Amino acid sequence: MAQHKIIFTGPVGAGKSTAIQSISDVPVMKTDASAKEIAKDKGASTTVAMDYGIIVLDNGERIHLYGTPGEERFNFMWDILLTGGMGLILLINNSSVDPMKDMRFFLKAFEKFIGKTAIAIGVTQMDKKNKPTISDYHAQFASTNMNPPIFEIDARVKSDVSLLVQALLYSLDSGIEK
Amino acid sequence: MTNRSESLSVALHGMDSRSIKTMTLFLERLCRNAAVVALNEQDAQIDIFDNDSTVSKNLLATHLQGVIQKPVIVLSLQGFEYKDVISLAKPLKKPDDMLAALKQIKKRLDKQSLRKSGDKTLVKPLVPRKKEEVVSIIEKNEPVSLPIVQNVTEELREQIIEEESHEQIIEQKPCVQIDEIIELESNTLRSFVYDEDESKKIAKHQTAMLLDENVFNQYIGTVDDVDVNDPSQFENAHYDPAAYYQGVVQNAINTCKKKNQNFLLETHWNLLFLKPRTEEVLFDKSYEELKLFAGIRLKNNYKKKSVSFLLNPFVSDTINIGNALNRFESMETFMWKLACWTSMGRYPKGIDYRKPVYLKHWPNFTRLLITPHALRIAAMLVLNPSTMGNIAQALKIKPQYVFVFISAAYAIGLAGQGARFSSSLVSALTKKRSLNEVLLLETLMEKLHGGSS
Ligand SMILES: Nc1nc2c(ncn2[C@@H]2O[C@H](COP(=O)(O)OP(=O)(O)OP(=O)(O)O)[C@@H](O)[C@H]2O)c(=O)[nH]1
Ligand SMILES: [Mg+2]
Repeated sequence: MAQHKIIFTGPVGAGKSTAIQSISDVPVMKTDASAKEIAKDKGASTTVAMDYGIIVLDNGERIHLYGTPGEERFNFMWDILLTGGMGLILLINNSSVDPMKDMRFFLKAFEKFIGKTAIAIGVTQMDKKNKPTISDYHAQFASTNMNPPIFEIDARVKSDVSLLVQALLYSLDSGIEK
Repeated sequence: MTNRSESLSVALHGMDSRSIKTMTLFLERLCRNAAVVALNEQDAQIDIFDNDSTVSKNLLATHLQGVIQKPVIVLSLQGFEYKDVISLAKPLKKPDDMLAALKQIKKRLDKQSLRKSGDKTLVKPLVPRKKEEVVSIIEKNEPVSLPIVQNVTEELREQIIEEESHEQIIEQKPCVQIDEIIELESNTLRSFVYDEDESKKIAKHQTAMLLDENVFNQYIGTVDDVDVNDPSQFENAHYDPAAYYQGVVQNAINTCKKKNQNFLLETHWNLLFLKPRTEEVLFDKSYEELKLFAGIRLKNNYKKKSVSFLLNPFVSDTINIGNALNRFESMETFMWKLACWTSMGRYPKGIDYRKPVYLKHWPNFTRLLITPHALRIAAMLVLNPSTMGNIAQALKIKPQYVFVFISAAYAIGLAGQGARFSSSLVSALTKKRSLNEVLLLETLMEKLHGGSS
């Protein structure tokens, strides 16, 4: 059977590693490097290859969670990660310089994949900076035919991440009964 | 920068979201993560109180009367002398004082972990003092409203200045007064049992709360004069928000936003403090009481007692409320919840059950009360407007779950009707999927649902 994958993406420090860690059933494999080696001011560590976690279902099946590396020089890995993906979780750090620009960049970069599957957006670090607001993010989609779930989340909080993934799955199929 | 794993963790008590934000940034940027704000108060190694807000004063008074388990730092304008409590002068201008305090505490904690005595308390337990004594020390400082941190970073300063510049002194006279008749005797409300633990649990619930069908009736409640789930009774399955506390709060929110100043909405039983600049409210009673109050029809009753609502401008940013468990929460979170408890499975007057309803966009579910099937309803409605009955059919759920969701979304301006969208008949969004895929999605959903509540 094909691999079931959910892909987590977003800029450096958006909370991808943390989110996958929060909801994975197995300890997360990380390939982080200390930020000092890479960029200043980007948090204590950054992921240089990718994050990987697993949700194990009651029937034993596994959902694989992949986090894209934040560093741009690893963008070549994106295509490989996307193959067979069910949908995309995009995390945006609200306290970054221009979070809207970050969002537009990733929407563009993953345009084709999102068109074929679905996307849910989590805005992190709103406890540090509450502007732009969730409504401001929605406003960015006003002139498009997309209307994705956009939630304020704390990547460290399991129930926040879990709700975001649920919204992604319901966007794929609201007929799911549960 | 301090390695995060070496950081001390602190809990911030009685501060509104803006103060918390400022403190978080202060610790992170200026104190270079020497301390971080703990996700969970219980996990924190240090308790920090602001002794100039009334809410915090109460918390501090209660705290000092108990056995002190952890080091305490008090931020105060006029200094605060209390045995073993570290006092820092406000507003914090430079990180030096804070860093020195943290260093001192760290030393103490390290020593204690070396000693590894069986004694669990982190500092020498203080002998609990008498209440009057504690209160008299705390009350030395009059409540004032001043930023906790001053001139921290450019970004922070801008943010603070932007918000402070709106401050202005205003005449304190009632500007709205609503007298309505209430159905119940006043003492009916007073006698409700105040369950401290329950309210603590809910008041602290910053994240979403998931309800499933089993607890809906108990938690949301139902009406008994109409069967909202019987399509032939849909005509009568509505309620008028304006006839309930919901409508009064809605008006108060509109007023305070229009005037852009703090307001206090008072009744004999409760207070609602509204802060338009941070879009926050603080309700002074338990949610149990809010829920009961929400269900009382205020209009069109010719009986007995009258409830009057007083809506007044309020100059300060803090307010003296008796219940230390209450927290500020966003207006949206509060209105959403209030609408659920007023609706009790009915839909709001103003929505025609025969016409399609639209949903502008997904609600910010992680910060809202999640009624049964709310995510599925939202997923369906954002794609296509649809009548409420149609959604219930397509999702094979009871209409009451659609009605309560629409009531909440309507209350925060997300749902509505009109020319905005063309009507169309919809079915649940179901792509052609193999049985395997469907099963997989269902199992995954079941798991996530269980894991997040
Ligand atoms: N205050 C706060 N911190 C958060 C939030 N979400 C995540 N964090 C923290 O932000 C930091 C960065 O998160 P990571 O998970 O490492 O980010 P990432 O997206 O994996 O970053 P790269 O690997 O560099 O691309 C961590 O210290 C998290 O604990 C949030 O909502 N609020
Ligand atoms: Mg990472």
